[in-house]
Amino acid sequence: MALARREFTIAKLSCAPGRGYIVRHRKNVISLMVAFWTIRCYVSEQGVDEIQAWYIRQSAKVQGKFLSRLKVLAQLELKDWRLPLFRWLHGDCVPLGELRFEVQKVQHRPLGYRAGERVFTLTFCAKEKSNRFVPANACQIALRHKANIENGKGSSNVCWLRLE
Amino acid sequence: MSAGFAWSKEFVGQLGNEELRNAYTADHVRTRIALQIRALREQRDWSQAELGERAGKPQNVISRLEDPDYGAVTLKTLLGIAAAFNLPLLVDMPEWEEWFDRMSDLSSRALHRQGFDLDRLAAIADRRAAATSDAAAAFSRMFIGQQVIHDLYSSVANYNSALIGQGSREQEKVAAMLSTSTVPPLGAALAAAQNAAVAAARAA
Repeated sequence: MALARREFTIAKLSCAPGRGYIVRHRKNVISLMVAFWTIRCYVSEQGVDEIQAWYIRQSAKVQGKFLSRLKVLAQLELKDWRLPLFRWLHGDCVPLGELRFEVQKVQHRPLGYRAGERVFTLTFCAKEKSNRFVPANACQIALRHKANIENGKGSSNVCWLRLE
Repeated sequence: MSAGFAWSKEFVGQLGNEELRNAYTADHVRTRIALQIRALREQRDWSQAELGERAGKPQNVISRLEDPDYGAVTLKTLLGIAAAFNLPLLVDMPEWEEWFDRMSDLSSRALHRQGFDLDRLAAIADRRAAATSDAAAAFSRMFIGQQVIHDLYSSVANYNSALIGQGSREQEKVAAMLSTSTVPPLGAALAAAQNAAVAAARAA
């Protein structure tokens, strides 16, 4: 009886306009969750998760901030993927977008693209200095990795970092 | 039931490193403040300049406050911004589990708030007072019921003691008293209390 009442409540909430909710059933426990973006990471032809490899090389401060930003973005509506947390790029960099965060005066710019309704795939982690990417060809690298995923030379994994 | 993200032991396990955890926590707090200021401003259809006017600050200060990477937010500034929105400010150092729960939904909708509204708050206070009163009355009935039943049992015990060596007329008197009693049984009192508590919770 109690279970039936809970399910009824969730059914009503799941119809709320403008917000995606998913319902999880786990060991008779029902929890209501905000629909979540899936973050994926580029895996090279050699089978190396390049985003994870970048992450491991970073300081704990960068790792903590990167985890925080991924978690925040993963729970935002697409319309809220915007400055100052995120920016869709223009020109030769389309359809890439960049996460934007600073740690100890270094501007980090992990690049990726929207690979589905609620899927964002990170393909390359760059920096920005004096309004330019470091390395300067960061967009080309990120786009090449995207192409590798699409033509089967490379692939992508669901991000190894747990966001929930 | 939280409307935000759950947090798993795997997620918490990633925060084992103190330096990483501190960076994560600081960024999450700053990001939440920045996103909430923007969400509240947009909820009211205010520009950054308009919020600045109300808070007595230039537009570029509001722009910085809406940037999670800006690390020099002061309590005084936050109090001023909260006042401009007609909202209170809560600064707390909670238990970790409470912090994870509170940080579990940073969507703009979850960050919207209503400014001070005396009528709305008075209505909430009335509803809560009524709910508390209902619950108190239900518990009071329950305790009175328990007391009466206790008294009845005592009376019966006394009668039983007194009946030893007396005639059946006294036994008939006890049976008559119990059958005509208007005191609700304990189960009914408990059910009434439970119903009142459920109704009070719904009303709240």
